[in-house]
Amino acid sequence: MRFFIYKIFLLLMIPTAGFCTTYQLQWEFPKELDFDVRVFELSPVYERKLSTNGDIIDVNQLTPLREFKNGKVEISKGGAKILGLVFISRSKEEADFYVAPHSTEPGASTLDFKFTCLCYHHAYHMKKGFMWYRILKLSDITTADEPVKTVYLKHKVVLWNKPAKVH
Amino acid sequence: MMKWFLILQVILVLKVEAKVSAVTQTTNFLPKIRIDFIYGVNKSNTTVELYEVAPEFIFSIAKTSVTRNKDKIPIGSPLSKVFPLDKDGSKTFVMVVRNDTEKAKYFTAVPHTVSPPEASLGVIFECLCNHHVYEIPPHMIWYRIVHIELPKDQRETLRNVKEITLTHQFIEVSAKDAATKYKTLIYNTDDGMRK
Repeated sequence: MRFFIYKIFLLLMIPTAGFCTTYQLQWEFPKELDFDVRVFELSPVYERKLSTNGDIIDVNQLTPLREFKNGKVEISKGGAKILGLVFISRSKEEADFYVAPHSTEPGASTLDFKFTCLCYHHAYHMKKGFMWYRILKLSDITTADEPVKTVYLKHKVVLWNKPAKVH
Repeated sequence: MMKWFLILQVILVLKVEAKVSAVTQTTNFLPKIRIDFIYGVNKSNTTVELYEVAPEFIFSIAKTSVTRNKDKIPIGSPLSKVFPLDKDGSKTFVMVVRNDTEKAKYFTAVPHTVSPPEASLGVIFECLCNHHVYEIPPHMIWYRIVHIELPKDQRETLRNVKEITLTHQFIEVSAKDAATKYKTLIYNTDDGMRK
């Protein structure tokens, strides 16, 4: 019986204790962009659609496995997650935007993960009445014997006043 | 009739000129560039020096090497942290790191951030932050030729920007980590591939 309780205790501990690296995704928007951000874990099948973006009406269209509340992505050491990043415009108006390269804190952890994100010299378009999404991948490349840590990844989103000439 | 035609022509010419000058004003103005490094992470006291590139190496972008001989580095005069771009809106320069110690040094750079963020769409910086660990053997000098460019068609976003700051965090990697954890990430200066 004691062994059984111990086993349950261990099972309960697995997702939270020492085996995960926490990646805190942070966003900074200008006041013209009233966006809500949601981050979902997607099925590994979505890896084929990595770095694609598009428009959806409902988040369930991405068939998410679960939501990472407050942009707090927990990845087991050495693991990887396919993320569905969804921007929801509260004003429901269309907008063009781009994203400045993210900052990494602490910087010393830079070699311990790989992040295929959205700050790659592209501008994006939020369609009127739609939600905008992009498929990202975050891979942790630490080993189990390294200390647990939280990495802060901050993106600054910029409103793009697109010149009329650009298509 | 002829008089009216002439007047119309003059107005048209003036209008076209005004348009052309407006376009050249927005594309000709080039912000200054500031290259910043954040040091001191992992208690490192190594720094990066910036130099003009020697003219014959202007197209050798991303050439990375280590040398013992100071004269073999393809550099010109020292470059200040803040510098203007060349007329075409680009600049090739050299980053130099010295190792005056008896032990090999290893370092990496965190992907750069751009300030102001508005400028990020209009800047292409082929630098040193590419998920590699660079190795400098004892008493050797490391250098890498880097290139910054503001593409002409993307300068629209830089209209109100006077200076663009590109910041890297400079991270010194311990010899132990370089030999174990990051062994596969060490940059091979011979062919630019991982060792």
